This record gives sequence, C-alpha cells and structure tokens, in this order.
Amino acid sequence: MIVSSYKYFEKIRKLKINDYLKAEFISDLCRINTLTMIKIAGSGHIGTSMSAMDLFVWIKHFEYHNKLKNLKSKNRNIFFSSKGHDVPALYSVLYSLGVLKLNDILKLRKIDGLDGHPDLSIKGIEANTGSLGMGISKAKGICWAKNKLGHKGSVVVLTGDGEFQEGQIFESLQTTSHQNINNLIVIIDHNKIQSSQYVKNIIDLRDLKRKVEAFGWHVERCDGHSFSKIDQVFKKFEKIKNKPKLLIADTIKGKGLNKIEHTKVMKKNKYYNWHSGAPSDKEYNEMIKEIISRIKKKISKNRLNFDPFEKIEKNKLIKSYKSLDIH
Amino acid sequence: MQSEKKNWITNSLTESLIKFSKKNKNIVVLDADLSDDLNLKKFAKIFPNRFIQNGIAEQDMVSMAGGIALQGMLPVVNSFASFLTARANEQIYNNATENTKIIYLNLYAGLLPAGAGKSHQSLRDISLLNSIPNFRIFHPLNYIEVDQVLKHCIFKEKKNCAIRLSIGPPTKEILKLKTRINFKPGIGQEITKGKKVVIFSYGQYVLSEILKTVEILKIKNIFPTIVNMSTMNFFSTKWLKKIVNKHDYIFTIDDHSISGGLGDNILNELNKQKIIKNKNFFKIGIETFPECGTVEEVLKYHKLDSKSLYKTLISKIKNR
Repeated sequence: MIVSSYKYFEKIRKLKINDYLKAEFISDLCRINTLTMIKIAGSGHIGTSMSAMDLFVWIKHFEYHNKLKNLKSKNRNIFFSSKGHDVPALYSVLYSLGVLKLNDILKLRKIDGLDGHPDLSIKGIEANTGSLGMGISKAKGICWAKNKLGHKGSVVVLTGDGEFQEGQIFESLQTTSHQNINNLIVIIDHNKIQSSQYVKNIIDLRDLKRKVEAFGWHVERCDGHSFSKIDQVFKKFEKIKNKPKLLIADTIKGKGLNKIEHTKVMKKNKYYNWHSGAPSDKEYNEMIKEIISRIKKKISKNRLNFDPFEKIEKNKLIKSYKSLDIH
Repeated sequence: MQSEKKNWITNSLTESLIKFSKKNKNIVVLDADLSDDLNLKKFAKIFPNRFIQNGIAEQDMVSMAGGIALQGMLPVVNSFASFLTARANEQIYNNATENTKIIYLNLYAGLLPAGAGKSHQSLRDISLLNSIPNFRIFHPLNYIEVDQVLKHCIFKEKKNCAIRLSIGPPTKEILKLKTRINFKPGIGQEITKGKKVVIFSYGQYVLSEILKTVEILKIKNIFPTIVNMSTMNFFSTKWLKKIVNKHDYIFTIDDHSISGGLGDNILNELNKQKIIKNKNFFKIGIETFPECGTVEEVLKYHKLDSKSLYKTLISKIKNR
C-alpha cells in the first residue's frame, strides 16, 4: 500500500511554481491517500471522493488556508460538504494540511478512527452531514450567526447534484435570498451520476442555473477540475455582495482514474459501478500506478527537480496500516 | 386583548421568553409562520434582530437553528408540534448529534383543542423525540409552570429541550387549582394527596378531567394522589420509588399516543428500578387516530372525559 506523507505536501507548497500546478500535485497525492484509505477500510465512496477532490484542494489549500491553528478561531472560514459521503477525500486533504495525522486517516471507518460520514468530533470537520439536503440550511444558520455576532470568515458548502432532488434544498434556496444571507457560497459537485445512474435518468434537474437564479441567487458555472477557472469564479464571487452565490462545478465522477471515470465507464456499462466500495488488489495497484506516472510526467514536463513518491515506494510500501511510521 | 390572555400558557411563554432574552443575549427565535398563538410578534418587535421568520419551511428552519447553535447561540424554534417534530425529525436528530443545545417549542401539543383534526393534533411528538439520547421533554401545566420550565431550559439544562405547549385558555379546574406550582425537573408535583391510588398525568386538558374524576371517586371512598408530571422522559429515581411505594395502584394518563408517551417512560423506569413488583400498573392514553370535534366530544370519544375515566379507574380498582 502506498501513502504520500505530509512532508511532501509541505514541500510542494514551498515549490516556486504557480498555485494551479501546486494544486494539481496536491490533488493527485491526495487521490493516492484516499485510495489507500478506502482500500484499507474495505469500503467508502470512491467516485464522489474523486469528483470533489479538486474542489476540496482548491478551497482548503488556496482559497481559505485552513490550518491547524485557525481551527478554533471564531473568524475562521468554514467549509463543509453537505453530501458528506465524499469525506475520504476531505480527510485526505485535511491530512495534507497537517490537521489530521496519518494514523487517523488510515483508520477510516474503524471504531477508533474516522467516521464514514463527517462528525464534529474529528478535527477540521465543521458539521455533521451525510443525510442529504440539510447543508445549505445549516450553512445559512452559520452565516446568520456569524453576521449577528460580528465574526469574520466566509462559509462555503458543497452539495451533490442528486442532492438537488431533496425538497429541503429548495426551502433553503428560497429562505437564504429572502433573509439576505449573502455571505454564503454553495458549490454543486455536478458529476452527473447519482449512485449508479445518470441524474437525468433518475429525476432530471433540467436548467439548474435558471432554477437557482429564479430563487434570487447569483449563479456561475465552470469546469470543476480546472483550478484556474474555479479561482476566477471565487474572485468574481468576492465582488457580489447583494446575493447568495452558487457555483455549478462540472465534474467527472471518479476523476483522475481511467477505470472509474464515469465518462468512460458509462460508454461500456449501463450502470456506474464505482459509487461505493473498495477496489480489488489488482485494481488498486493499477490505479496507484496511473496516478504516479501522471505525477512523474508532470514533474518532467515542468522541469522540476523533486520526487514525492520515490521514498513512498521504497519505504512506505506496507502491508497493513499498523506498520506505518507516523509523522 | 393580550392582557386578558395573561393566564394562558402560550402568552406566558412569550412574556417569559422576552424576560429571559434580556438576560441571555444569545437567544434567537426561529418561527415557521405559526407565531400568532404565541404572540411572537411581540418578541419580534422588541428583538427584531433576534427573530427569524423562516416561513412554512420546518426542515430548513431546524437545520438553520443547528447552524446558529454551532456558532454558540441558543436557538428557540417554534412550530406546531405535529409539524416540527415529525416533518423535521431527521433535522432535529442531526442537530442533536452535534451536541449543541436547541430549545424546541412543541406548540399545540396533545389532543386538544380538537377542531383542527388529526393533521394538527400532536400525539406522537414525545415518542419522536424520546429516542434521541440527549433530549429533555416537558409539558408545563399552566402559565406559572411554563415560566419555570423555560427558565430551567434556558439557564440550567445542558441537553436539547422540547417544551410541549397546550394552546387555548386555561380550564376552570386549572384556574381553581390551589397548589402552588413549583417545577422541579424529573420530579412530579402532588396536586392532591391521597392513598392507595396514584395517577401520573400532565397538561391542562387531561389533568382537568382527572381533577373532575377525583370528585366523583370521593363518593366511592377512593382518594387518589394526582401527580402533575411535567417532565416527560427522565425521573428522579428516589422520588419515583418513594411515591410509587406509597400506593398500590399506579395509573398513567397520557395526552399523547399510548405508545411512547409518559406512561411508557414511567413503566420502563419502574421496571428498571424493580419497583413494579406487587403493584397494579395501568397505562391510559390515545389508542387511535385523534378524532375531530369539540373538546367535550373528543374527550368522550377517546374515553378521557371525567365520566369515562371514572369508569375505567373504578373497574380496575374494583377488580383487584
């Protein structure tokens, strides 16, 4: 099993390259850790973890810089995922920030480890979620109280696209704009697949942009895997003060792994079979190899002089998480 | 007009809420457009920045309260008990798992008034909240006790609270009550001191019928102890043991479904403490969907009027 240690993330952050390229490296290394976590746990939502990963990385590393020392600040930026089942990816990002320890993330779904859905008892987690539809309402409450108490900091909540079939979502879209709670940003991880089928075949969301705009929101849409485009949207959002804001981020379920990207899977299969569950040993090894070769190519293409996994392959190749050395 | 309602539970709740909100600046009130019975408009007028009108969107309101509580404030959430605790039950559960504190106002709790019918009468709210581990549920008897219960919930209680509120004017029997109400969490108050028979109940409507029943029972030389049990789901074991041991017949009468109400909770506690042995225990409550009608009609239909209660009680006591 392969993990990428915290020190590599630190190293990448210090490289003299642009933020978008840094984010690409961090995302792929987090993908390695997420895969390993899910493999050890024997279960976990792999497809949505991969589709949301780039958004997590951009928001946590580059947009809001949530570091360990800020976790209790009243003025901190608050980010959480309403769908919650993408939490393996979020844990891996929290690890890459030094908030969680390696020992924590490798005990995913264990009784003394990390919960299968977000829980406040875990460092860096801001709300208990997982049951769909509640996140915007809760984020709205956080925003309202922040405004009332004069606490600074933004509030961003990620939702799924299938989640937009929940009625509470539309209650919250309506009340947020009416109550002038304009410091809220919602991002939809629009990966087009819910569980194993196309959202449009289960219940079509139709023109989501127009629908949300009709509720009094400012809506943007962009490629949810392009860091430069996500960055641009956030910069645009900063200027909009009179409306709550929503980003439809077009993503790919299983992004970054050939075998499980929905755009590829759905060409061959009727159903998407990577919503949850762990890869087999063979699949796991192939997936890890794919990510490593991608990172290596990117390093040589950018004429960089570092190797974030040479040591991982040699020293961190482990049979079980118990034998890992902990940073 | 409001001054005429001085001794209504609902009006008293709002007056107390205003009083306590002056002391505790963290209180925020959320409402799903059912503020008229409580006259929450008065609260909104005094604290416009601490009142959130959330419209008829209970799930959104409850989750929003969860977010507010995460920021360290104390949300007080209002809607009819039947809508609040059933429709938004999962949201209430989710908030509870975050171990914050929220006060839920279960307005229009119980069978009566019964004119609105089964969509509005709330006979399930105790059972719906009871299985959430960090919840305290209360049903104050009158305008004095509601102030005491609210004070406890705001300033003393660490867990989430639900306060069941009867709507409508107080009954004659409650107005005539001589006992000075002194609320203690987990401990009931003896309204009449009798022997052999003890009746645990709550809420102005059903307790009034029990008070009338006791008058008829006197003729048969039966003098029950009536306990106003305004705490629904946790009890002082010492107190419960003491009062149960003094009596042979134990009755619980719920203004709620017979399943999952006060009766079940007392029975469970008596069983757990092994004090049920050699006692005759009877649980009375509502066993069907609630009927629509006038107060008198519906009490009679559900056999909770004084005459029906008399018959039920005398049959149980006699047969033993």
